[in-house]
Amino acid sequence: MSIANAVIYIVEDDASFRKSMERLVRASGFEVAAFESADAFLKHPDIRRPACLLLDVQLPDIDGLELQQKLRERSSSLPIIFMTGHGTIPMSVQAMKKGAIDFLPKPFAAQDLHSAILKALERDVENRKQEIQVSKIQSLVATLTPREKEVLRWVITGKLNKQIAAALGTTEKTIKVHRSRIMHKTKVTSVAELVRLAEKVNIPAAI
Amino acid sequence: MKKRTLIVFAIFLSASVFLFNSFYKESKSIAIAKLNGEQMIHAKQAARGIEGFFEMWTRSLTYLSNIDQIVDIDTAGKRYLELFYDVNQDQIMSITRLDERGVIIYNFPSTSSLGIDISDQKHVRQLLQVHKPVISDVFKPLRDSIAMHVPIFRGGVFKGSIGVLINFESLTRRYFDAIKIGKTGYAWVVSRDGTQLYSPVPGHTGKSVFENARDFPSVIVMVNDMLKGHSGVTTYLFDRVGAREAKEARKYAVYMPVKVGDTFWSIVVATSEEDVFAGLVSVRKKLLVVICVLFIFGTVFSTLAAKGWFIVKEVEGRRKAEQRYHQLFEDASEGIVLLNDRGSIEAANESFVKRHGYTKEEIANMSFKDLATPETFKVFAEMNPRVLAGETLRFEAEQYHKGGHIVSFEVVLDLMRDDDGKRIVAFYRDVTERKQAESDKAQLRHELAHLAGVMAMNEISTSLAHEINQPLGAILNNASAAKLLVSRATDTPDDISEILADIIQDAKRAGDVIRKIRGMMANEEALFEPLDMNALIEETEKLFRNAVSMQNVSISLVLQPDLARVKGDRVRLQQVLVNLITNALESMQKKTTKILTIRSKMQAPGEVTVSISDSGIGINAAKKDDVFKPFYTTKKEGLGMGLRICKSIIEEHGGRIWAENNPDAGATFSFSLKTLPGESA
Repeated sequence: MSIANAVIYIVEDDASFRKSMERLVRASGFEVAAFESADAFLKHPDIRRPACLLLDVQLPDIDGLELQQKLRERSSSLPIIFMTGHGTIPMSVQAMKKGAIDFLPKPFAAQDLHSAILKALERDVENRKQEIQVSKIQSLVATLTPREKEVLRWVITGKLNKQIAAALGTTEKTIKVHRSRIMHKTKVTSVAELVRLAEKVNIPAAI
Repeated sequence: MKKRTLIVFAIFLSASVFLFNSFYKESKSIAIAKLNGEQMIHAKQAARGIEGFFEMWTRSLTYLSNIDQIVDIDTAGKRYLELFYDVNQDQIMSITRLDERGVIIYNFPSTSSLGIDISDQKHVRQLLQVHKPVISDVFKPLRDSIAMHVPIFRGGVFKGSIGVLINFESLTRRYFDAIKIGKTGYAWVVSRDGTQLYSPVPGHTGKSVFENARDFPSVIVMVNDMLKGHSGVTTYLFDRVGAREAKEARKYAVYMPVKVGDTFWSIVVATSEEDVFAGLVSVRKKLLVVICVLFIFGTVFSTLAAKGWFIVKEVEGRRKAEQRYHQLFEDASEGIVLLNDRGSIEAANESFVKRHGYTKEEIANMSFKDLATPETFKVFAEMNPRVLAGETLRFEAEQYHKGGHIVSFEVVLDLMRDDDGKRIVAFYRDVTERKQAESDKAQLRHELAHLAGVMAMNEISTSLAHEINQPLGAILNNASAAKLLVSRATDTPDDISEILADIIQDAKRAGDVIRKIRGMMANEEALFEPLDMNALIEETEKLFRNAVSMQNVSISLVLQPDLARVKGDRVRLQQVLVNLITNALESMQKKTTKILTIRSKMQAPGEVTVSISDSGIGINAAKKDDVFKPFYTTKKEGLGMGLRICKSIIEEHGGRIWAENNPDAGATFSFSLKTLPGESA
């Protein structure tokens, strides 16, 4: 996976500015997909390739911040670069808090845009790697039985088999068997690895 | 006081008049009694005199009648009679010898009447009948005279009479003329039949009194009693005083009979009232003096006494009033100070003293100048003569508190005039608080105005920036894209790259300029703090009190009690309220019904909604979405920034603002703000 085949999404209502953005980004060597509204963008099929979003804060239907919110709700990790004609400080702070890569006040230099895009794409690649890893782990965790998942939550607390057995009302031996099966199924060799794995897929510890 | 004096005066006057009257009456009756006593003596003297006179003549004539020669009337007898006449001629006018038939047989000195029968004369007829001495009425043949005859007997036979004609004048001179009382008192005499034998009134003598006093019934009444032989005391009215004509006057009279022969006369002694009073005048004068003196003393004394009493009462009343006024003066919430015409403090009340931080003793030695700021003193000095001339003037004074700070007063200067001269009384109303409130209000207005200006500029610059940045961004982008494309192309003129570089540079510069302006404008940071929207609404509404009452707008606040607080910038939110209220008032300017309602409520949990409803012209339905846009305005002088600013502020607070038309009339603008975390009602 590389940024070479990345696609840059642009959501901008001002046609003239949108067109100039398309030209500039394309001239910088990226593939561009431009939309005039948030709605139009949301209807676009998600392409599994590196990407980032150049988003105008002020949009006629739903504004940039709301679109950012919506994408988060969809568990999209698409990096966003905000563009604004009159960015206000509270607005930019809010946007950055929610994971925006950058906040570019119009007009901006081609260089600034370029570095923001590169930064965003790197983030996206990273994100996608993470996502792939998480989905791999998730598929491994999915092979665990409900009882094994429960024991897993106990194991990552760092407790001894004997203590876990007492808590679950079973024998130490049974727990030992579960533990070895979990390690095998998730392809880890240590409890430390198991803890990291659980963290990545948001499996909470039992206590 | 005056009325009372008059009453006292009247009482004394009537008492004096009564006293004078009774004294005077008493003296008058005493005087009359004294007069009548005197008159009675005169009358008696006259009566006795006349009686004696006639007795004397009767005796004389009786003596003569016993002389034989006279009975016979021989030569010797005639000689006797001549001698008798000579001796008595001062009293008698003639001497006569009648015979038994009433014929004159001798007369001296006149002899011409010899042989004349005078038996027809009244007294002669009487003589012939009764053979007793007779006295005639008063004759008036030549001079007033009275005839007296004594019968002559010889051997018991009537032989006629011997008589004399008495000079009545001499008689009256002797007995009546002597009667003079005062200036008007005199005597008059009537005979048995009412003939006036003597009267000082000319023409009355010899005539009937009934004739003479025909018009005076009171005289007739008296005469009737006189003719019965009575004596008495009375008064009558008559219009003569002796010989002179006079006004009809009351006369005090005594009358008594005078025995004359076998008949009687009656004598009256009368004096005019004026004489009685003449006698009384001196008495009256003395009495008057005494009474007047008494009256004056009485009046003066009682007036003084009354005055004294009034003074005591008044002093008491004044003391009480003074006490009350003093209390009023001291307790007045206004400061009151009494200044003399040079501006020195003569008296100051508690309030005045307190407000200046001094004690009474300290302030007593001060003057207006010591307390006033130079500006205030200047105003006072200008007003001083006008106030002393009677004007009431009002001004705003600033005075030094003992602590050094300045206190503001509204002062009314008034003239107080009393016996000691002119003073100025100054009433001080402390307006420091009001001034402070005014200045706070002014400060608030100033802040709001400043903010409004800043916000407007901000909004303008923001809107301009947006409008300009957009194309500027496009220019920059295009130029940058072109530059990238040009740099990759092989045979492009160098000029193109340079042109593109210049475009990029200028676009950047333009962008920087706008950013700088924006930075300058946006230097006012919002200051967020917990706010009570109800208090803010009430405070803001006060700013419109004047405008609202001037335009006849009825304004009502419908505020939900216990409203949760919001986090906001006080001044900016107030700016929102000011803008919305201003718009509402302007929208109602040409309407007759002007109702402005400001509501606050918790529309949703964790959200305070404020709405401003008017009964104005409402919002053009087609432009409903445009009202919050920059440069949207329906006013001639409007910038179209007011609502835009409201929207910016509310959004800065994370709130919402919206507008809608009311079902009946006008529009409602509302905004909602999040409540402070943990505060929800």
